[in-house]
Amino acid sequence: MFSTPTVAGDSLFIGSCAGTFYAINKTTGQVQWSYDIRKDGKQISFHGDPLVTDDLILIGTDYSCAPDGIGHVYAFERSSGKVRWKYRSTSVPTDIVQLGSNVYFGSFQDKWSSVNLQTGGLNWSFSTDTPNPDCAPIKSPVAVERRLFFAGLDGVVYSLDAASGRVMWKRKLAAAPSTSLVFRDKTLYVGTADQHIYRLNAETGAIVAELAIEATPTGRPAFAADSLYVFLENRPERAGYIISVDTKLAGVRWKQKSSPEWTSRRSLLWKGYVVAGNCRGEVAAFRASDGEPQWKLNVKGCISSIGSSGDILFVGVQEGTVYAFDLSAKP
Amino acid sequence: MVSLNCAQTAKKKEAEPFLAATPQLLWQYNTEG
Repeated sequence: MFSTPTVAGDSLFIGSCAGTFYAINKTTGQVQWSYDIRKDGKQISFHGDPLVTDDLILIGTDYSCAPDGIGHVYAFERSSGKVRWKYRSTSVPTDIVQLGSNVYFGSFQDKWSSVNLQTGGLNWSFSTDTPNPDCAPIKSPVAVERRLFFAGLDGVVYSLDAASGRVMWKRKLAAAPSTSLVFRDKTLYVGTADQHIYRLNAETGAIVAELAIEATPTGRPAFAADSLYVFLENRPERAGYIISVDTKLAGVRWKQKSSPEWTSRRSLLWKGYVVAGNCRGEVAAFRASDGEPQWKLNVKGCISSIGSSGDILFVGVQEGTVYAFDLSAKP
Repeated sequence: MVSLNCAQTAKKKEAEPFLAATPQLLWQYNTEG
């Protein structure tokens, strides 16, 4: 599974690579309800993260880039799994993000759309018209302060007016974005394939600061206090890093190198730890303040996603198993 | 990232995990994919 295990209330929501979306009791592991998306057409995967609202859970689906594949956004009632609405697309491999009464998502075809949260009715769509012959992953968007920000397959960072889909600005950096965008304090952060991290003014797209680093940033960075935590990878060496940089991008505070590279999609901050997983089934926790290794877990499989709720850590592997670990339990 | 999406993931079924350190395993569930 690639979608981050996500908790709402007593339920853990996970989407498998076999076409089923599950609500599972987060403390017992018992299935509460499930929905097989294959009955609605040629779709089997959940690559983005769900969106939780008061009564709904929204998730995107796809069949990778298969030309005859389809995707949807599903809005399930959290308690019952009943489909409130579904919106059909070519594919919806990104997170679903919300701004007010609307939600936003992208496709493998680099088409970005807004639909109404309550009805699933289309508000607008925008396409960069960029082909995706290699089925490159689509980085999830950010919706904040009346804007939708995303990194297009054309290597450009876009700011759209969230209400109309009109382009407010776009910024071509020296190399294509290699991380998801993240937002804080009117600033966008993005890592690029030429081993840099950028700060952009979210109002104008102007470059505020940049920092050269020693490998390619990947995944989705995360914030804690005035630090930004970023995965890096050096593919030829099969080396991975976690680095902590200050949010002004003045420098690297600490780094931890490991092998193989980290494969969990985002830097998870949990209980003062930065938690990451790799394809050997190793989950490692580093102290967020100084990077000191704290503990390590082992599961079977290639770790693709890690989520948390309170004292419970959820680890999803590509082979389809989700593991729940309790920090408060005694050995 | 080693594997980019579901379609590129090798299918194989797995055995029980082992636990090297705290936190402790609470439960596990196999979605078969």
